[in-house]
Amino acid sequence: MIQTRDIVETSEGSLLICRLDPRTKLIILLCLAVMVISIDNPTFLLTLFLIPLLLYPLAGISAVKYKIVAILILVGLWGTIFSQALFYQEWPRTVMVTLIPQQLFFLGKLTGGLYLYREGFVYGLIQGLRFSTMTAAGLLLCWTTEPRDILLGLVRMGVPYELSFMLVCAIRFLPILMAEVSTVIEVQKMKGFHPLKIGHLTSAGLNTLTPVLANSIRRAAVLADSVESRAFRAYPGRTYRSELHYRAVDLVLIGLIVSVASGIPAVKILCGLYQRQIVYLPGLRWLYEIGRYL
Amino acid sequence: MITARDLTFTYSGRNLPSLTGINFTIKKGEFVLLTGPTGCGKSTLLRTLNGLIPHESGGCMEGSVNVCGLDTKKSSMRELTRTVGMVFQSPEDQLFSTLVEDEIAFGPENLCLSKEEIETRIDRSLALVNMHSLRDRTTSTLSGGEKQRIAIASVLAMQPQILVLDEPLSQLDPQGANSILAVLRTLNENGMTIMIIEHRLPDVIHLVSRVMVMNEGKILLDRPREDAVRQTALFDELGLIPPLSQRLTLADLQGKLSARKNKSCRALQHCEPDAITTSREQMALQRAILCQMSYHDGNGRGTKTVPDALCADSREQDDADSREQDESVSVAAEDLWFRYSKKSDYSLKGVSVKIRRGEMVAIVGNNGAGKSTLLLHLAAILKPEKGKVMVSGNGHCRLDPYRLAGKVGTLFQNPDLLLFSSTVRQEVEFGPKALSFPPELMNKIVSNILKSLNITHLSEDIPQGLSKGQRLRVAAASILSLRPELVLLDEPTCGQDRVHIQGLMGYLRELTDTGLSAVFITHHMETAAEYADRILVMDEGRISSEIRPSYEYEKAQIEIFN
Repeated sequence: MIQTRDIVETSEGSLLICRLDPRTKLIILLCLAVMVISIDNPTFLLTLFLIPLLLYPLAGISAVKYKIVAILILVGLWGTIFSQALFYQEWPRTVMVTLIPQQLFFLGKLTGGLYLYREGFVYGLIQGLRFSTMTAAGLLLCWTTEPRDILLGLVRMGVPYELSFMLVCAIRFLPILMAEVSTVIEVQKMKGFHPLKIGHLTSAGLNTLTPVLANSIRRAAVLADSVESRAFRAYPGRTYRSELHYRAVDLVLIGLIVSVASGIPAVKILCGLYQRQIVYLPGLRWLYEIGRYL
Repeated sequence: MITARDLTFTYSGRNLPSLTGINFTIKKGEFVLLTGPTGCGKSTLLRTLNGLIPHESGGCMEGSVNVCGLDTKKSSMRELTRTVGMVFQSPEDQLFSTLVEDEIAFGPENLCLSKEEIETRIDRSLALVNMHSLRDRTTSTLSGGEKQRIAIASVLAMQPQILVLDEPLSQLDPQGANSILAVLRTLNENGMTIMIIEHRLPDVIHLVSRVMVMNEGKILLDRPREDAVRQTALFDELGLIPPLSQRLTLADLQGKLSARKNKSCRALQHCEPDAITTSREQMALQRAILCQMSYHDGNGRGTKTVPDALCADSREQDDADSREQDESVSVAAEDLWFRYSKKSDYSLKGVSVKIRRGEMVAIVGNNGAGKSTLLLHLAAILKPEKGKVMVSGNGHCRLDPYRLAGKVGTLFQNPDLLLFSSTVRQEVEFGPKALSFPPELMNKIVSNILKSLNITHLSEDIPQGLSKGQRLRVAAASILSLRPELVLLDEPTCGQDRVHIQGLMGYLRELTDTGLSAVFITHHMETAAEYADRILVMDEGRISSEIRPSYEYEKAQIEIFN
């Protein structure tokens, strides 16, 4: 059973990644999002996926947090890859594994055959790596940054205070939600219902969702009353006790990541224009070569 | 300072008003206790004082509430929040900052005060709640009482003239509750007007100057404290703890336990056999006689007292007795050591405990003593680092709650997490269906349990839509329908009316006569004294003492059988 205390605390910040300005981390996250959407090559996507994972040991992340990341990523990856491999409809497509041959009596005729396709597998891998990269990076941000710093960072980047507050509350209470999910799974086992047995998954999902959602609504109501009682948004503005200041390392990192993140879509756009014979610049042939691999 | 005139309020979507014709005036410096059964409208009334009703709640409000000259219907939340500060029941749900000083600064920041003024208010508020040394701490490392004090400090930073608190003590241990009450006393002595909702009347009555009792949306009683406490009939009728009930401490528990046991012994002693009418008395007598027979073999050997037999956890066993002991032990923990992470301290330090069949054991102690951790080990949800836990003689270090389904049932501190079905009946049937009980047996069990816990009329209702006390009883029913041998309850009395506590604990007491063992954690000493056969006191991961009935009880028992 996951304890809230295991996952609620941020890592202590003697490491570079913990000491970066929150705006720097948010910008890196945004740029990473742009990059994973722009890149289609699984090898490059895998490289991007590994970068935040390699930072986890450097950030002093605890074992239980690794477990959480592993579960989220593996479930997401498996689900995406399997579903895409199974339901891939585009052509050409190459059968990798035959689950139900077309010739099989009744089932084969009913389904038209069930196959796992290599192209679907690759497509699912691409989508899965995109999702997993952002999951790993997002969790790293949350676990190395105090919620109040994330709030301040968002506000200083122009996000309205109400939205920033909502986001930070969600981050703040997510560990509690996860602990409650863990408890409800134990409760179901206690009542003789194993959630992970074949045939139980759908019911287990609904059984888990109901109390967690009900509890979240109650908790949200109390929190809303509490912050309203303390003049939340009583005035258009508010005072912020702390201020953020960029250091040299923040500016260098922002410069680098923004350059790469803006460069990749730019290269893709130029390559697209070239492939559609709209624009061709001979001096950029080296760029078109790079673009082919992205 | 506060005036309510013909106040009536109906939540949107409801037909009946939650408040009806409320009239009262509260003067500056008064300390008012507002009490009543669950669902009578106390929290709703409190929310009309700081403007949450009608500004944030919707619904239809008639009449008026005037606070320090401000009409709450016409004034903005900006004005009202500077005048009335509100503290809620659960500190976990109202604190969202990770740092103490950030939480306290939240309100003043919203008021656009200067940074210097905010720092001054943080210091002042922390001083008022005696927590100045914890300014730089993270909120997750605080105890329940400390969190509630931080919640109060965060409200005091707004510098309100009136403080209203909605059951601030319900989730606190006695130590935490006392710290809160000390703060409130000091605030009131310095002129703060305070209104508090509480069920723990004996804890707060000595602080307040006035008592208001509500029921079904109306004020039934509004008197100075000295008059109000004499209305014991009203408190009994509404199922409330009489304000002048004795507040029990640990030191009182043995006396209370012994007195209860002596009373039942004397009842048996002086009854004619035909006059023993209740099944409980019959079974107690039969059990006593059987134990007496097994420990006295006619040759004078084994002159153990009957209490040893009845409550037996005797340390002086020969082999034959030892085997018989093991068969009568429901769960046993040996030398448990556990910590949540390698960096943290041990939460359990060599804890050993045996729970017998038919025994009801209370575990008491301050927050952080390891009570819930011990319970989770008995339920096989947590595994010890060292030591072992045995259920019915079988080690269950490798087992999990799934394999113990039907043997061990656990009611968590938040019973809402046990409710996931569409109706109450389905909730109670869930476990028996999962364990493939025969339909006729399942229907009989479910009907009996619904009737015994007084929730038959709720059979077709949605469990998550019920009141708090009803949800607790449904959660308990969903565990008991599995007919476990051992039931573990984590603070079943938290935030509950006396009537609900008596209903649930009384039913468990009856079930222990059929062999069910029960272990419950409580901060409510009175409940421990009233229902437990023995009480374990935990402190810093150890069982620091065990409270049993005293020698006088033993003497009374011997007289019966001699």
